[in-house]
Amino acid sequence: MREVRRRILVVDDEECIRRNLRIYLEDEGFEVSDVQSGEEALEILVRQPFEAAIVDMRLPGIDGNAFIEEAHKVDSALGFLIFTGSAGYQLPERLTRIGLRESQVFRKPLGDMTGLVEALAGILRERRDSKERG
Amino acid sequence: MLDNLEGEQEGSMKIWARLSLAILIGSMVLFPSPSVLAATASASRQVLIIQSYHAGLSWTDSVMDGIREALRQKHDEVQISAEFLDARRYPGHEHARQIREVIVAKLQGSAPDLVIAADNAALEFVLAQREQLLARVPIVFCGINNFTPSMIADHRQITGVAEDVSVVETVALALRLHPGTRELIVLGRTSVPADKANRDSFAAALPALPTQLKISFWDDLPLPELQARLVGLKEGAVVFLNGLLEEESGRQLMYGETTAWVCRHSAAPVYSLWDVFLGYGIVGGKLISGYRQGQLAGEMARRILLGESADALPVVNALDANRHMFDFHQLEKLNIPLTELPDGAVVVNRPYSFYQQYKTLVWATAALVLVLSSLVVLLGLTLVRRRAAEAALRQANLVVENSPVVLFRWKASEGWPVALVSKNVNQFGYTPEELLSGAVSFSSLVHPEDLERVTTDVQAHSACGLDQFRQQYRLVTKAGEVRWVDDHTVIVRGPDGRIASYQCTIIDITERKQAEEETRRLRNYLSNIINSMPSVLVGVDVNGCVTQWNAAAEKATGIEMTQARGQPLDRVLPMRHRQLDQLRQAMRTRTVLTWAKVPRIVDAELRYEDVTVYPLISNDLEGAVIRVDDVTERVRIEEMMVQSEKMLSVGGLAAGMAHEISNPLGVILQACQNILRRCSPDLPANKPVAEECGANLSVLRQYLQRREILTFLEDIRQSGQRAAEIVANMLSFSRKAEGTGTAVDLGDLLERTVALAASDYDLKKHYDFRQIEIVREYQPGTPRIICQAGKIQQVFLNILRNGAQAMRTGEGTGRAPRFMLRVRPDDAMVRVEIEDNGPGMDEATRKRVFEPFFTTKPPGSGTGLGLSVSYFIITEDHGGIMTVESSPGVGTRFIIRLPAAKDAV
Repeated sequence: MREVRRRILVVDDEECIRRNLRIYLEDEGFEVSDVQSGEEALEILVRQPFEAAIVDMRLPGIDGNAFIEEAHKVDSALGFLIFTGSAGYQLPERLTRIGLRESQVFRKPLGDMTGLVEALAGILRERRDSKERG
Repeated sequence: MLDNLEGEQEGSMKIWARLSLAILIGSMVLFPSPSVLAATASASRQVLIIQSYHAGLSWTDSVMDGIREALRQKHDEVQISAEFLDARRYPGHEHARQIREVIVAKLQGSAPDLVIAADNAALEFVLAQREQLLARVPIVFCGINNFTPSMIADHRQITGVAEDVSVVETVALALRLHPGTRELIVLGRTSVPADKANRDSFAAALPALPTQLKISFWDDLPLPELQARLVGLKEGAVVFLNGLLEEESGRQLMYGETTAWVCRHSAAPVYSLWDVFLGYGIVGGKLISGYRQGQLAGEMARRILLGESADALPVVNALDANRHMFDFHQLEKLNIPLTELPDGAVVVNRPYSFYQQYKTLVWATAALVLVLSSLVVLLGLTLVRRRAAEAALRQANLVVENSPVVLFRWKASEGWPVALVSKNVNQFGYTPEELLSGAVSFSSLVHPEDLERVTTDVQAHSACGLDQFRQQYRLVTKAGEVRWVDDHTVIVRGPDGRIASYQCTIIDITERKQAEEETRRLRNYLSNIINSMPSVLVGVDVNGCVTQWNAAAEKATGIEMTQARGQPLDRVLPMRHRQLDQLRQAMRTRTVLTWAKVPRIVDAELRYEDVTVYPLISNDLEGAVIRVDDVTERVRIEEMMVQSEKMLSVGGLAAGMAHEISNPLGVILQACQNILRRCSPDLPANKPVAEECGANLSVLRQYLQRREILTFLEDIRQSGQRAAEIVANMLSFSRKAEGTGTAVDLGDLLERTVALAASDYDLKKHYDFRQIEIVREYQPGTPRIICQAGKIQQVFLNILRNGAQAMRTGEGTGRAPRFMLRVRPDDAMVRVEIEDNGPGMDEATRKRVFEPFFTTKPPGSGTGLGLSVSYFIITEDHGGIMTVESSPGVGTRFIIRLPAAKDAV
C-alpha cells in the first residue's frame, strides 16, 4: 500500500499562530510547511505537492480568498481549510464554486484544535476516495 | 310714504275752509251792512246855526263843516239850518239891521231845538233875541273872540267855545323855526271891528312875548306902501298876518287874496293865527281852526240834544281848540324839515297822497289784498308742500326701488292678493304686473314647506294685536330657485280697527343664511378638529383660567368641559410647584414653554408627558394653549434605541478589535493546548524526544501536577476561553444579514430549550434545573415565526439561566421556585412570557437590565452581556420587542414578542 501523504501548508501572517499550528499538526503526524504570505505559498506550491492548505484571510499581499482561487488553478486537488479572525467572514461565491464548504471555515480564537485535525482527515479521505475513483 | 295719499286729501280740505272764512271776513270788513248801523227812528231835531259872516267865506264854511261833522255821528236824525249875518261884507249898520229883521221874521213861530251861534256878531244877535224868540232854546256858541264869562252871565242854557288866538305859541314857534328873528311885523286893520278885535288880541299878548323882540304894528296901510315895506324887509323879520287887506277902491280882499298878496311881496316868512289863511302862502302857526270851532260846538250841541244840560257843560277854552298847522309848500321853500314841527302838526298841501285822500279805501283794499295774498300764499304753500310730498314720495320710492328691499302690501283675504308691490320684486323674477293682476298671489311666492308656518305666524300675530312682527322664510323665484328672506310685516288697520292690509318689507338674506351656515359648519369643523386631537388641548385666558377644554382633556382628567371652563388651571390639571408661575411668565413674554418627559403615575403606571405652553401671539388675543402629549411609548422606544445604540457601539468596537484580539487569544489557547499535549505521556510524538532527553514523561507529569503547573495552564486556558467568549458575544452585536430563517413554533422551541437547560452542565453546577416547577400556558393555534432558531434558543436559555440563578438566591422566601411559560398570539405577533417567582428587581435595576456589561452578579460570574445580547437578537436580528417587568418580592417576567410568519399556521 502506498503511504498516504499528509502534507499541509499553513498560510498565516502571524508567526505564533503558524508555530502552534505546526507543532500540533506535527504532533498529530502531519508534515507541515508554513509560509507567511499568499505569494510565497503559491511559489512553494509550484515546487512541492501538498494535500491541503490552512489559509488565513488576512495576508500581507493577496488576501486568502484570492490565494485559494489561484492555488486551486495550480493544483485542483488541493484541499483547503480557512482559519480566520474575521468575525463576519462569509465564503464568497467564487470559492463555493470550487468546492469549499462552511464546514471548512474555522474562526479564531480556536480553543481546541482537534476540530481542525478532524476536518483535515476528512479532506484527505475525500481526496483519496476521489483519486481511487478517478 | 304710502301714508301721504290720505294726508293730502286732508290738506286740500283745510285750504278750502280757510279760503271761505277769509272771504267772509273780508267782505264783512269791506262792505259793512248798513243794518249794522241800525237806527231807531225818532223825531228829528232842529238845529239852527246863526253865522256871523257869509257862506262861501272859508272861515264860515269851515265852521259849518265842523258842526255838521260833529252832529252827524252817532245821532238821531238832526236837521240843520243856517242863517248868515254877513257881517264882513256888510258891516254897515243899516245892512245889519235889515238882515237881522229878516232872520227874526223867520224865527217867529218856530223855535229850533238848539241854536249854534258862530262868531261874535251871531252871539250878540242871539243874545239880543233870546228873551223873545229863544227863551228856552239852548245856545252853543263858537268862534267868540275875547270871550268873558260876563258875556253870558245873565243867560241860562248857554255854552260854547271861546276863540282865542295863540299868539305866544305861534310867536315861539316862529322864533324856533327861524332862529335869529329880531323883529315881528303885525299886519292888521282897525277899520273893521273884527279885525280890530284881532289887533287887540295880539296886543294883549305882548307882555308875554320875549322882550328883545321888536314888535311893529302896520295897520291900515295902503297897499303900495305896504308892498314897499314888505319888499324891504331885512333878515330877521317875521310877518304876522292879523287881518284882511283893503284895496283903495274899498274892496276887501278875502283871506286867500290877502294872504297871497302879502306872501308874494314879503321877503320874510309869514305866519298867522287863523287856519283860513293857511294854504295861500303862510308858513303856518298854532292856528285857530274854524273847522275845529264848529266841531267842538257841534259836539256840545250833540250832547245837549242827547239830554245833557247846557249849563253843565263848561265853555271850552279856545287854546285847546287851536292846532299847529303848516303849509308844506312854504316849509319846502324855507327848507324847514317836517321833523322840526311840533308833534301832531297838520301839514297841508302835502304832495298828493292817495293814501291821505282815500284812507279807508286804501286800507280796505290793502286788507283785501292782504287777505287775497294770504290765500294765494296759503295755496302756494299747499302746492309747495304737496310738491314736496310728491318729491319725497318719489325719492322714497326711488330709494326703495334701488334697494334690495322689496315692498309688498297684500290683503287679508284668500291667497293674500297683492295690492301694492315695488318694482324691484323683479329680483325674484316676478313682474309687479303679474302680482298686482292677481296672476301670482303673495302666498304662492312662499315656499310650500314654509307656508304653513308663515300662515300660522301671521294669524297668531293678527289675532293677538301685535301689529309688527318679523319672520324668516323661503321664497320661490320665478325660475324656481329658493331664496331665504327676512320679512318685516306691519298690520294696517282701518279706522274701525279691522285689518285692512298687511304691509311688509322683504330682504333677501340667502347669502347671509349661507354665511351663517358656513360659520356654523366651520365652527363645528374646528371643534371636531380640536376634539379629534389625541393631545390634550387646554385654552387658558390671561388669568390662567380655562377657556377651552377638548375631548382628550376630558378623557385624561375625567373632568367635563362644562365643569372645567372658568376654573383656574391648577385645579383641573395636575401641576407642579411653580409651573403655574412659569406659565404666566410665558404668557406675558409670549414665549413657548416646554416641559419634556414629565413623569406621572397614572393607574399605578408610570407615564411620561410632554407639556407645551403656546402663548397666543395675535395682538388682540391674550392667553395660551397648553398641549399635553403622552409620550410614554416614545420615551420607551428612545430608551430602547439608546440601548441598541450602546450595543451597536459595543458591536462596532468589538468588530474593530475582534480581529486584533482573536489572534493573540488564539495563540494563548493554542499554545496552552500544545503545552498540555506535549507534557502528556499519552502523545506518541512525545516519546522519542523524551527518550532522547532521558526524561520520564510520567514523572514530569507528576511534578507538573504537584507543583500545580497543570492547574496554572488550565487557568490560562479557561481565561483565554472566557476572553474568546466575550469577544464572540461582543461580535454578535454587529448587525449582520444572516442567512434565511426558518419557520419555528415558539412553544416547541421553548420546550426544547427547557430540556437543554435541564441538561446544561453550567446550570447543573449551580442549581438543579429539574427541581424548578414549570407551568406552561401555550395557547393552541399560535402562529409560527420566521427566525434563526439557534439564536432564539440562546435567548431563551439566557433568560432561564438568569431566572434559575435568581430563584436560587431567593431561597428563603418560602416560595418554591417556579417558571411560568406562556406562548400566545398578540395582534400580528407571537408573545412569549418567561416568568419566575424570584426576588424580582427594583426599578433602578430593571431599567438597566438590558444594558451591555450591566450585571448584578458578583464579578467573575457572568459577563453582563447575556441579556443585552438576547435583547439585540430579538430586536435587531428579528424585529421583535423584548421587555421586562419586575416587582421586588414577587418576581420577574420577561416578555418577548416576535412577528408572526405571514402564512400563519
